[in-house]
Amino acid sequence: MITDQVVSIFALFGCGLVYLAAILRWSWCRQYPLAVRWGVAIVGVIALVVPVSGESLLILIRGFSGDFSVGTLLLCSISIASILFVGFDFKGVISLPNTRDRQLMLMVTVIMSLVLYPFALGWGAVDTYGWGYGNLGFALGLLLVCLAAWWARFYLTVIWLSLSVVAYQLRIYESNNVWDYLIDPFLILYAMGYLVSCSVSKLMKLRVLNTA
Amino acid sequence: MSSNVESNRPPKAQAISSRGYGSYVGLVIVLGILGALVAQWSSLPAPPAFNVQGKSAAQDTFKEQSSLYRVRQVSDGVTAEVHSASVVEIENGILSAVWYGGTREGSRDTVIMQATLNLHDKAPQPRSQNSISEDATAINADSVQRGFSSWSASHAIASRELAQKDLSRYIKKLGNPVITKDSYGRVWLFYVTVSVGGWAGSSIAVMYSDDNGQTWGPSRRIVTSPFINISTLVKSKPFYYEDGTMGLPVYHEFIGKFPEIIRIDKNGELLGKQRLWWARGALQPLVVPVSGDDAVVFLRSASAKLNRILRKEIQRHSKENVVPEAVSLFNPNSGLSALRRADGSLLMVFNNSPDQRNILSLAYSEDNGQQWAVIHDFENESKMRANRFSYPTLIQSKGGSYHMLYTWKRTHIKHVEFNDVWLEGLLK
Repeated sequence: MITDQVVSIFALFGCGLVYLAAILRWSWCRQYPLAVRWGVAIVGVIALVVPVSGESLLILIRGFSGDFSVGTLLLCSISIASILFVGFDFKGVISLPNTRDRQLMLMVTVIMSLVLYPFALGWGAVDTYGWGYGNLGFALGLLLVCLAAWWARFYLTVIWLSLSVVAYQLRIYESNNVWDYLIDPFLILYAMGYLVSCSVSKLMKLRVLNTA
Repeated sequence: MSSNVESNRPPKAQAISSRGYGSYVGLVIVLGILGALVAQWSSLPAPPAFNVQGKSAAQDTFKEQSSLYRVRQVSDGVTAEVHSASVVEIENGILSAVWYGGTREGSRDTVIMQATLNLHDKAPQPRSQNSISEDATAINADSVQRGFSSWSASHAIASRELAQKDLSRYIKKLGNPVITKDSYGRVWLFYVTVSVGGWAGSSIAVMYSDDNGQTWGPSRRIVTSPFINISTLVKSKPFYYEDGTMGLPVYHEFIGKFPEIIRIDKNGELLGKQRLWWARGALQPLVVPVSGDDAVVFLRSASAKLNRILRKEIQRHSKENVVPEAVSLFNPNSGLSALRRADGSLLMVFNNSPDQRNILSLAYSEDNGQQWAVIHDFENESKMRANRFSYPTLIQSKGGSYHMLYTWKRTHIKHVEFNDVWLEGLLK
C-alpha cells in the first residue's frame, strides 16, 4: 500500500515536472546548446524548491493547480526529454509521439473531457465523474479504446491509458477516481490549443497549395 | 510540451506490415492491466442498507424523568468570530464539539477549535485564559452556578499552517468542520480548505483520532471533483450504512450548486458518490435514513424566490432521481439540522423566517418530514434584521437527551440540551 507521504512526494514531483516542461518550452532554450538548456533546467528547479517567506513555489503551484494527470506527466516527460537529451533519442521513443500519435491521444483526451466535465460540474442527473469509482461500462470503454489504438498503432494512447490504469491501481494519487489519472483541465486546455493550432496550420498549407 | 506539428504518417503499406514480437507482448500487458480493471469493477457489491438513526436511542440508562432544558456556552471567546459547529458523542455522556473561529469568516487566522463536555461531571471546567470575550465567561459562569456541567476550554486542532504542511500545498483559509464517530470507534474530522478564491474553491480535508479526539493524525485531502478538485464543501453530519461505511453529505458551489452524498470506508477512502440533485439552488444536504432501504434528504434552498426547505426521498436500490419538493418550513438560505427519534418522528432545527436568520425554531414531523409543526423557538429576535442565529446541528446522545449547537450572533457557539419529557410537554 502506498503511503500518504509517497503520494505527496509523487504529486509534488508531478507539479515540478509540469513546471520544468513549461520553463524549458517557453524559455525558447531549445535553440541554444545543451549546456544552456541544462543550466535553465537547474536554475528552474532551484527556484522551484527554495522557500520564499516560508512557502516554496512548488507548494504554491500544487495549491493552485492540484495534481496533474498521468496524461500530462507523460507529455511533459517527453517534452523535457526531447529538449535535454538531444542525440539520445532512446531508439526513437522520444521522437515517436511527435506525430499523429500525439494528435490522437489529445483528441481522445478532448472527447473524454466533453463526456466528463459538463456533467461532473452539475449539468444533468448523470454524474460521469462517478463512473471513475467503478463502472463496468466505463472500464470496457477504456479497454476498447486501448485495443483500437493498439490495432491502429497509436502506441502513445495505449501507453497513456495503460499507465493511467496502473497508477490508479497503485493509488499513486490522492484520488480514488480513475478520471483523475487519465486527464486534468490543464491537459485539456493544452490539447484544445494544440489541435486548433494543428488545424489552422493545415488550413494555411492548403490555402498556400491552392494559391500556387 | 512540444508543439511540433509535423506529421510523419507512415505509408499504408508500412502500416499494414506485420508487427514485431514486442508489439504483441505490449498487447498482452495492456490486456492484463485493463482486463484486471474490468474484472475488478464487474464484481462490485450492491449498495449497502442504511443504518437507521434513533433505533437504539431509547435504550438509555441515564434518561431523566423530569423535564430538561439547559443552555450552555460552548466556545470561550478565544477567537473574535465563530461559526459552523458540529458535535458528536464520543463516549457515553461525553460530547465533543468542533467549530471554526478567527478574526472573521474566511480570514487567514481561522482555526478549527474543539471542546468537550462530560454530561455527568458537575464540576466546573477550567476555561481558556485567552478569552477575549467577557460574554463567554459570564455565560459559562452562569452554567456553573446552576450546577450543571460545562464545556471544557477550547483548543485549536487544525490551522491553515498545519493543513498546508500535511497536505503539501498552499492553503489560504479553513471553513466548515464536521465531526463524527464511526462504528469502529474512530473519530473523524472533515473540514473545508480553500487554496484559491472564495468558498467556491473549497476542497475537503479529513483527519482522524483513535483516542476519542485527544490527539489527531495528519490531514488528508479527499478528491471529489475532477476540476482541480475545487468546490466541494461539508456542513451536515454524516450517516452510516449497515456495512460500517459512512455517507457524508456534501455540496458544490462552483458553476452549479448541487448536493451529493460521498461514501467513505473505514480507512477514509472514497468509494463512490451519488448526486442528489443538479439544478441550481439546493445545497447543504442533510440525510436522515428512515429504513434500511429509504432515506429522506432535506436541503437548504439557495433560491431567494423559493425560501422553503426542500425535501426528497432516496431509495437504496433506485437510481431514479426525483425532484425535491418544498415543505412548509421557511428557509432563508440558511443551514438546518434534523434527526430521527426512536419512535420514527423527526425533529428539525431551522431559521423560521423567509429572509432572515433572526428566529431559530424547532419543528416536529410524524410522516418522515412531509408535514411539519413548529413547536418551539430557541431564539426569536424577529425585530432585528441580521444574521443572528444560524447553522444549527442536532444530535441525540445515548442517554436520550438532545443536543443542539448553533452559531449565536457569530460571536459564540451555544448549546441547548433538552429531553423527551420537555419535548412531550410541547407536543401535548
